[in-house]
Amino acid sequence: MNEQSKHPNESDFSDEQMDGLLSSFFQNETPDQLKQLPSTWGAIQNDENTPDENTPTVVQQKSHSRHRRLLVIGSSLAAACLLMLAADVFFPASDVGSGATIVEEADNLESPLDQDATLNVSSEDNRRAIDDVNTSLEEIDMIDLSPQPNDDEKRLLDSKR
Amino acid sequence: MAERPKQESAGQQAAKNPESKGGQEISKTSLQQLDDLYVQHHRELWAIFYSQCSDPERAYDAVQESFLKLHRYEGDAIRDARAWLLRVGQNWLRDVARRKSSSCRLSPSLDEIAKSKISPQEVMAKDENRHAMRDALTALIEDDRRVLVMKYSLNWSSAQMAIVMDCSAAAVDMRLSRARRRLAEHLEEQGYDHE
Repeated sequence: MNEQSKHPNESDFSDEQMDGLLSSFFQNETPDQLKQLPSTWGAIQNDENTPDENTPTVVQQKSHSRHRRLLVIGSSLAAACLLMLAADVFFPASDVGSGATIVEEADNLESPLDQDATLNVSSEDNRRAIDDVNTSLEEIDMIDLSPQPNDDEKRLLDSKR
Repeated sequence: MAERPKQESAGQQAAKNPESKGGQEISKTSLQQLDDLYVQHHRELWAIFYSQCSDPERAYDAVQESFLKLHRYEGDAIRDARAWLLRVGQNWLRDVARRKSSSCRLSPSLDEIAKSKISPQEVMAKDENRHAMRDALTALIEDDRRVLVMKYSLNWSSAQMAIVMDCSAAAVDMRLSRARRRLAEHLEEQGYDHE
């Protein structure tokens, strides 16, 4: 065919030629191995054989995880016990009562100071010492609230005038 | 060696029944299930992978890789095995292309040449033509390559292809004719010996 007279879309190959060419090409192009089923592949057969060898490893991993879980549970229980023990030591059960119990205990409380505060001043008790320097209620009664100057004091006042 | 599977591929089933999901829900696959799935899908998967890389060995590697991964898969149940295999194979092909690793193309061994009744020159000429055809296919756009693969590798009819490509049978014939013409032009550029 003359190159100059050839149409741009026209080629040396007819449709029938291309049909035959492509059919035979793809027939030869398909690999023969494509017909083999996966069960015959070496990699698949290796995979099928490996689980038996790996079984002990898998069991061991499960055992490890069980031990770890037991350890966590045990340590949690120990921590809870320690917490309860500490609570018992620092906050005894007697301290922890109802409000009524506390009021009742306060009513029963009698200190020495409270006993002194209930002295009867009109009886013989007013001569009894109420502090460390032997102060008594009687002495307090004898305090002169408008004291007069004694002789020395009068003489001193006169000399100043 | 196993006989060549005769069952219809999922693509052909899908072509006949567009409502088909292309596979059943599977979880851990047994060897028998794996073989059944292979019989059902391997031809179509290889053709699709081939249309992407124009390399028969690499396309076969992608098929093997996808079925190996399915065999080792232990995750959630797979709803559509065909789509899953297709995605795995395509991802593998993409990774290989990214790494720019050259596939190990098989050249005719000396034993095969010795057994062959045709001369070594003819064997070499055929091999050259095959490589020229591959190069020409690679030069095509992917849509052209796919329509040629469906027609000549999977032997699908125009009606089947029309369902998959979501167009009319006449449009498929038109695409096919254009793809053939473009391929012929590439072959001529490469000096393909059609005698």
